[in-house]
Amino acid sequence: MLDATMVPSTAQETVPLTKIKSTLMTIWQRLNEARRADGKKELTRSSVMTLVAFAPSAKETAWLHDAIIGLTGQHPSRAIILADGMSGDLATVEIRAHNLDGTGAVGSEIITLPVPEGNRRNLAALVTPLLLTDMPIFVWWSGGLPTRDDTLFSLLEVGDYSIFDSADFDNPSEDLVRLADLMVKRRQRQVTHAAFNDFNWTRIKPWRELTAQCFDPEGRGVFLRSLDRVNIEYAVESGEDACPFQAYLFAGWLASRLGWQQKSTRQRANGRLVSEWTAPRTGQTVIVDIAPRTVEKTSDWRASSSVTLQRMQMDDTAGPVTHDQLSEDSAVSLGAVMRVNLTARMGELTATFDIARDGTSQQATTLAHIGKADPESRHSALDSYGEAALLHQQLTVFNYDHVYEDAVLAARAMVSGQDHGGSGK
Amino acid sequence: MQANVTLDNPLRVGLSEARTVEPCIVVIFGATGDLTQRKLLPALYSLAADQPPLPNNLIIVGVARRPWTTEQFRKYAEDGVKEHARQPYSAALWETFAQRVSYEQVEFGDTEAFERLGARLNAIDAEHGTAGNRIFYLATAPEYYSVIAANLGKANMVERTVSGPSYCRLVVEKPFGRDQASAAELNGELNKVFKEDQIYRIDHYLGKETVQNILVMRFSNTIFEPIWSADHIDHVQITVAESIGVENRGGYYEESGALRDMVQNHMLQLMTLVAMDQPLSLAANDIRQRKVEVLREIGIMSEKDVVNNVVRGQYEAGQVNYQPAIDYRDEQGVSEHSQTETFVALKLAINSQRWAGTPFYLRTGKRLPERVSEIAVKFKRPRFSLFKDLGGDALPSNLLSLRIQPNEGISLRFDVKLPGQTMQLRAMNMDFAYGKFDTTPPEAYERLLLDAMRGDSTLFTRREETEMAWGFVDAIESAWHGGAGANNPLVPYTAGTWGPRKAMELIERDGRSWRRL
Repeated sequence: MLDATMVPSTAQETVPLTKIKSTLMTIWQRLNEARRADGKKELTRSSVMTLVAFAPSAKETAWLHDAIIGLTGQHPSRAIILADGMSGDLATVEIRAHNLDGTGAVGSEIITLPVPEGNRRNLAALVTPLLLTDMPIFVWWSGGLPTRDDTLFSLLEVGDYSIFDSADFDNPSEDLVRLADLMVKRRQRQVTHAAFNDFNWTRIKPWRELTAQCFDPEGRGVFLRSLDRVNIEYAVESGEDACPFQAYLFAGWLASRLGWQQKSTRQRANGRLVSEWTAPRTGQTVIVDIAPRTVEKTSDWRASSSVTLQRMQMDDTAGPVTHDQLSEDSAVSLGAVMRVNLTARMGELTATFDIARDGTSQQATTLAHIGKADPESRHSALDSYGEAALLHQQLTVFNYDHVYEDAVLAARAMVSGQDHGGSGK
Repeated sequence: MQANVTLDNPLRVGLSEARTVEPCIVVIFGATGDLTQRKLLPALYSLAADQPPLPNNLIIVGVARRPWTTEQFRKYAEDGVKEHARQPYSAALWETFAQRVSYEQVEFGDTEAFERLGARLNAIDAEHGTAGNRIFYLATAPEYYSVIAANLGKANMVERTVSGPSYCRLVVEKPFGRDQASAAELNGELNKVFKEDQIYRIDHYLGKETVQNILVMRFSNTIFEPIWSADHIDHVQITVAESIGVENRGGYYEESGALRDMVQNHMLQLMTLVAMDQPLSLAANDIRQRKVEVLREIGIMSEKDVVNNVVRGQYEAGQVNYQPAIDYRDEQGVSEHSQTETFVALKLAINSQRWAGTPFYLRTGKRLPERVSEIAVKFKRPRFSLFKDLGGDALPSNLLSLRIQPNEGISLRFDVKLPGQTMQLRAMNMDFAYGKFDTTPPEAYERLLLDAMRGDSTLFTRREETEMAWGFVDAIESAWHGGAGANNPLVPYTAGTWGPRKAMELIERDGRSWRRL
């Protein structure tokens, strides 16, 4: 099995902060001299971005480091890892190479910077001298969202794109409100200009896709306008809470795309949230019921990252990971969407569209029942995203994702009762 | 290259596909053939396993003359998927996919058999909700195209419309005719049953990433289009080289030759994409319009042009990739006195404001040293060379290379100063390889099948293009077999070389040379 340590690399070198750039230059020269001497093609020093990753603990630092290595092939870059709590004033630098035996070998630079306790207020100043000229800057935020008065907030303003994982949010409702607030203020040009990219948004993409497909065939659009109930289930372990952010986002997405206006929300026991919405034009009431479902085999989101890294670094010896392997290997992550059920009523005619994960696998079955017609069924793969793959997806987004932002604003309305004012129609 | 229609589905906003594939039945004629097993079924499986997947009610019906059962056909399909599909094989997904696959035995000349097939397709509509949507894929030998189309018509299986509630499309593999007259005749036969907008003529080269990238590179960047003309471009070379011989297709190749097999379709398509003016939009008709203009500007070669500007060759025994290669005339199905060309090189002029004075050199052949397809755009040297005394004039000029296969990618060559105290110049390459994306792009057939299902004909060739390309090729064939033949004889070349010496002379007399690939 491949892992990050198998991606070829130079040894890590420890250097004073003032020597980072010159040391990198020296390593490149040394590396290519050695390759020339061996009759090999030189490594190309090419970068498409600067990636700044904030790691709140030593464990996170190691983990982020491995995930970044998994990306070197697709996103040659300069990556700067800010290791919160790491003491000292020395940085480590290294070069990771990709495609060494193929055409066009490329290398990426990884710099790990210590952020001693009490030094958080200088993060932006720490990073700025190392940013690549005229290249987009992605800030990868691991952990909960910083508040505006947090000293970490300045780092968000360094980036053009802020990447985070709402699955990490400790207090989903509060963080959701804070995130929505940032988006509104960004739209009003009061705070950071950065675009927001959320791993959870990508995780529910297969669910959005499968849901959209239900309404693609000619004549199905009418059911979208007649929806009166939506049930969304997310995975929890027995007796435990899980972050329901995926389910919130999914509900927010439906509401914003279909132009629903929020009426009321009732928070029920054990993680259940029931909200009422009004559909435009018809004025029909739509109930959205978000409920946890207990599953036996769960995992932390990050448990699947090694599978994803392997999938991204397929080589001749390992071969591709098959859908079957993914199904067998993977447990359902806490908070993952398990099932979406939509019901539409038009007079006597009832239509239900049910998309359910097959057990704990990465596959789903869609069933469409329309009136008395025979049900249509479809079996589909749910793409399994580990964090490296998720990060890869976020790094390809070079624009504001208004569909996502509208979904967040609608989800905020759902949990807080505020008008979302989204643009979905 | 947008889909022609977008659905009124607000949930689609922001998702990858502007329009999904509607449920339909894909009927593959020639289902027991090599193309079906190696390309079509693996492509459909990969699309089904992809995100977003094809709808479940996309049904595949294999049709051929062999008395196979559906189970036999599914096994044949499964073997093909395991070996050739881009997406990894999954038993669970295969099970779902296989449920959509069935087989019907049909003699292509038997009208009653088509009526039974039609009834079967109607039953599938009722069972799976495919709503009368059909894609008929002709993967048979070309001599069956007309008869299959005619019988589809007789059996009332074709709704002759492009705007009705259901759709019916015909996908046709090359070769599309063997000259302008036969292509026109075939078009006429097909048009009796299908409207032109219902016909999708496949040239799988157009499904390749780099070929599609020609449009993006030329028209999405500001740095190329201003210099994309005879003012700055010295010449263009297009190479489609194969290292294999005719394999077991000697009989077919004897009738076709390199000119019909490669130049009439792939190479002229590549050339038109490189040479055409910017289309008004990415709509299929706008792009086709520009391509047709280029074909018009090439015109028809006179006998004198053919003698001066076309070289034809045939391989003799040699060695390719360290393996012995036999003489073409010793290949199975090939006449010992064969006059069929296995190599063609030609120099073309495009009579337009943009290209006057900039020749396009095309070469293609079998048993060449490498399997490589490439478009090379060679720029002119600066009019005044500041570095003349430093050897700057001796350096190769700027070159943009679009590599179609293998290792799809783009390379740009430019001059740089060598590091050091003295002013020394060197030409360097800046490479972009699709491999650097570390992802597997879809196979050409996946892209083309998906487009056919969506009703997007941008990457397919239309009647006018096909017939004009045949007109160009016919003039050369006619010259070879007429008075100019003696002055433009077939010349031998050794297998494993880059063609006959005469092909080198064709370009060298202009003070240029073929790229070493």
